[in-house]
Amino acid sequence: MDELHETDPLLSKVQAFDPEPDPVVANSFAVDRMVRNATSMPNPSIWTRGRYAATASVASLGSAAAVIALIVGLGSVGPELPVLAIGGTPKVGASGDAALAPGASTTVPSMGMMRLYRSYTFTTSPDLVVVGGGSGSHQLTASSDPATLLDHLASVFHVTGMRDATNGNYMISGTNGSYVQVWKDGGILRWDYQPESSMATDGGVAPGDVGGVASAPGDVVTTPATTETTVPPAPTAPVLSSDQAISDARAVLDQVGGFGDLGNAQVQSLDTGGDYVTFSLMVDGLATDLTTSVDYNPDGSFSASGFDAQVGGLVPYPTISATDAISQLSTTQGVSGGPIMGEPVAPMPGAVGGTADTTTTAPEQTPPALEVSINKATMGLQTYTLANGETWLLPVWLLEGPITDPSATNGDNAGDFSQTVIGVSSEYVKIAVSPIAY
Amino acid sequence: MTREERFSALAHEHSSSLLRYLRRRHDGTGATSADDVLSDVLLVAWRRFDDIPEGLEAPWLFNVAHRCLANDRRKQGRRKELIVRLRARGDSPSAEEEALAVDAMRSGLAALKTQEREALLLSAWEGLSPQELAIALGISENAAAIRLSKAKTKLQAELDAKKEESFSRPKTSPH
Repeated sequence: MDELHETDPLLSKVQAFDPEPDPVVANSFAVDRMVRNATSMPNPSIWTRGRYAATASVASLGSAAAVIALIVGLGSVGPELPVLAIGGTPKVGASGDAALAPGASTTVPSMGMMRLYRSYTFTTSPDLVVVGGGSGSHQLTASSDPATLLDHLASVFHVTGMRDATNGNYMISGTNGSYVQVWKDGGILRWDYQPESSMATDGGVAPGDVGGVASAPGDVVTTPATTETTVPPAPTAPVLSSDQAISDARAVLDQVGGFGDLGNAQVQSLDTGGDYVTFSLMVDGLATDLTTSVDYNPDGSFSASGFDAQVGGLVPYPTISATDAISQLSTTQGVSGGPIMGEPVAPMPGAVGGTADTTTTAPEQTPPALEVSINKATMGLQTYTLANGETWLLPVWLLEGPITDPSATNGDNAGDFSQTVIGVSSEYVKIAVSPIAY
Repeated sequence: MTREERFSALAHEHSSSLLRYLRRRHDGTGATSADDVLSDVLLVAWRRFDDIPEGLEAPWLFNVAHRCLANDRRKQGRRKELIVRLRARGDSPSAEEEALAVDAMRSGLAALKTQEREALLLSAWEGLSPQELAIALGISENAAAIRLSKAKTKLQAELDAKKEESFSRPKTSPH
């Protein structure tokens, strides 16, 4: 497709400024690994912060270097509680734990190819602090069908235009580049709204608008779907205060509705201006990884994303203790033959390549394992998509502790470790992990 | 071939062009790399494997890559628009003219709307046909053609304006 534009001088000029003029060849091994990672997920979902957290959790039970690991003795399962067959393997990523442990160091490897990673040994600190425990599990179901939700969102955000439902992605695209889309993620729905580009000069989403229809704060506007919508207060461009951003975000999400208890917001102020406001669904008093967010641009326009998930009744799957969860970190290493891996390390002497690049070759030597002393265990709830397409909120232990590098001469802390482990007793959990080898 | 084997073949066929697409647009900062985003593209592609239009796999994957990049930028907290890393190529008559050309192209591309720029770059760098462009942009073929045409017209106007400006500017500063 690159042989072109010989007759279009303008496109030829643009082509001459190609930052990657030379062909790029993806490393075949790297692609193989990505394929194995992808195909090990019968029902993977689009990347969200929540997904990162959830998938990172799976990483704690089946390491990245695992084989198809089928846990569970079916015979030992109580008749009233079916086995939770989780059909996924970790989507390992550098920010895998960010949603649950802001600021924590990377604890699982990036998908960058052919890197050498540090391995870990885990111990329980005598000062272990345990927060929570004994939570139940809940099935999640969508409250509406994708098309209905799409119509509702288009009404709220004032997106009108071409409708597309051909690719399993329900979407309405506005003529100004705005869009809303809805897709199924297991048993729930997720959605995303994008306004017109902030660079646009015509018809952009102005501060105080919902979906690009200019109105004064508090005004009532009639949407194309003939519903009435109260426009939330206008953000104060160019940069909102955190409180204002939260207030505005709540107003936006109130219009969407159906979220249940969203709990307290987290605001990330961006260095380029703007605020990223995130709410987590609260269930049984615990924060979950089901998040909805409103992302304000410096000009006051915003994008938003969320979910449609009704929380079912509590199902009393037995849970494991915090210390059992910690030992599971180590057991996983032994059983699967592949450790939970840390940061990529620098190329070792004599190695070829060693950078985070699909076109390089792995170093050949392994550095000493990092030592982790888990000193805090916090129970939370995370979403998992089962092999049968159901989505569940399952208890997880977030395990944290300092990392010590035995090879360091100064004995300094080598960072902070955090990892989630499914809190449901392993006899009720069946995880399929793909044969991924780093 | 099994479903997994077919997907693997698809991934191997298109990963190089996808990686090139991503490297052209990923600014290389933050915790993720173009490789990480490629992994996400393949995850989405697997999830929607049955929906990929036969014969139009590449532009469909570019569409997914575009969205994954947008997600990546949001996650990284980087709200800046696409930074086009321009690099002059080929024979340039002089360093000054080359610099002017780079500057003109940079500002010309920056003056385009995001969607227009994406249409232009998909056409110029990825070499997509109008039909492929429509798939990659997720719009109709007619709309894609209009968007590309608008982008070219705007860019040409910007380049002309820059050229005019450089002609009217004194070559040396008076002492």
